[in-house]
Amino acid sequence: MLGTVLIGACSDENIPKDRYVYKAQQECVQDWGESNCEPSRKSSGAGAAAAGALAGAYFFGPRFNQIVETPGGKHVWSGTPDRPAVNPQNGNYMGSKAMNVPTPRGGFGSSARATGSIGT
Amino acid sequence: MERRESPARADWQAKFAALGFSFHSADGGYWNESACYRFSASEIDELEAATLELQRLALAAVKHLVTEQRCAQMLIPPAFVPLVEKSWLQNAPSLYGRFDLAYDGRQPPKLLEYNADTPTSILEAAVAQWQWLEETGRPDQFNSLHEKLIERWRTLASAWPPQTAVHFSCVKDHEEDRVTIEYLRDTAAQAGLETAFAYVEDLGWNGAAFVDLDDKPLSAWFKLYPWEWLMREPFGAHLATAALPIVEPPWKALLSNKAILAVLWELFPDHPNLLPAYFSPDYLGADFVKKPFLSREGANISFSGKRRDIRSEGPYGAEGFVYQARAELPAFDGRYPVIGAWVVGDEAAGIGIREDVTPITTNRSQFVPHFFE
Repeated sequence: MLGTVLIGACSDENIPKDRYVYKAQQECVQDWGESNCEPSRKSSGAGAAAAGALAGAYFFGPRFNQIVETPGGKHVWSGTPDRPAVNPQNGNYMGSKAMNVPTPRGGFGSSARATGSIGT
Repeated sequence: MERRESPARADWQAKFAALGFSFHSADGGYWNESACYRFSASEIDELEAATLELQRLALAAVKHLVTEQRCAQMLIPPAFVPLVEKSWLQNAPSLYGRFDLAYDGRQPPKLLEYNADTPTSILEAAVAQWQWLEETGRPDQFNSLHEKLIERWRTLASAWPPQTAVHFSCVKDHEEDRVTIEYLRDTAAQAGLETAFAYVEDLGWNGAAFVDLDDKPLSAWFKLYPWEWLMREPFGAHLATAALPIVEPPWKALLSNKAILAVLWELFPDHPNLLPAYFSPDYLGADFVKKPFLSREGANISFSGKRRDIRSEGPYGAEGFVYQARAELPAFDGRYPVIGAWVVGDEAAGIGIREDVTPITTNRSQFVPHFFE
């Protein structure tokens, strides 16, 4: 049931499309550190009702295509949904658990394109 | 050992199509049953014994390379040496491999190379030539590949958690590999394993595991894709953290590199099933073969010698070369056969023969069936 609710909320047009969005604070902090994560809040103005429904339901990470200072003091490019950033500490893709970043694919296969034959 | 003319069955193309062997006529005619090779029982015994012996030597060579910390010499990137060593020390199991042998029925079989990581031509060897044998009424064939593959999958599965599903992967747009992997997947299914398929290019990394297109995590992976490529591609960095059983295991990267030929000769000099091989041509006479460490399907192989020079084209060689004494590859009716001697697990499981019009067996060679009596 919980999964159903989240999937439904996931398609909400009020979820920002210009930044990493997580279901859990821990997932956001793991990628970006506490200083770069904030819970979704109520806002005033247009769409405030809908935004109110989102308040506290998600955690927002950095905006895409920015330079971000990580907890280790390193500055990294925050990437885009198609090209998420790489964590300088462990080589993992940032935002791998973010709701609005598709699973990175295509990390294998480039050598075959370059040389042709595979089997021996 | 002899090559015989043999009338081709009238409807062999349709029969192979029914088996799923769709690439029988690729490259101008890959399958050739207008001829066949005949062996005596004692010759098959000799090939079986040589296969077992070469597997013993190969495993001893891996043990030596790990113990003596020589993985870097075999072009294993430093970041992957622990993965390779760990897989060997933990006895990560292998499914299969294929030794390519020069053999004429008179001299002992000689190892040309070991296709230990991504051997192909297994559907032809296991199924197609067996159908040919049964339908042409020949006495017998050195071929227990199908049964041994099924049994080997059961052994592999016994070390995995119950209900482990195996994902099978190859690259897109490559019919031979796609058909081959579907056959291997079928042998796993016949062993009772749950199986799935995902192209290599479609795999994803979710931060903790490799996933298929449905975002389902892989729990065991059969890849028809070489380790030397996996290690050097963007997702390679995740292989060590994925804790994923992979077939063939990482230690096979030590054997699929042709540098292993020089290591084998160093460890077992004058062995009757080996040809002299070195990292330099200085120790060989005028006739030798120069092979890139990582070439595939006969690419960039060159023969140097008094009699004639032969060279094949390709993209390999920057990684280095091994130099092997030239085998007296026998010619039968103007064709040069190479015996593909299969191991499943550590057992000899049969042979398949590919012949070419030059002493270099390439991806344009023809598969010719065999029998013995």
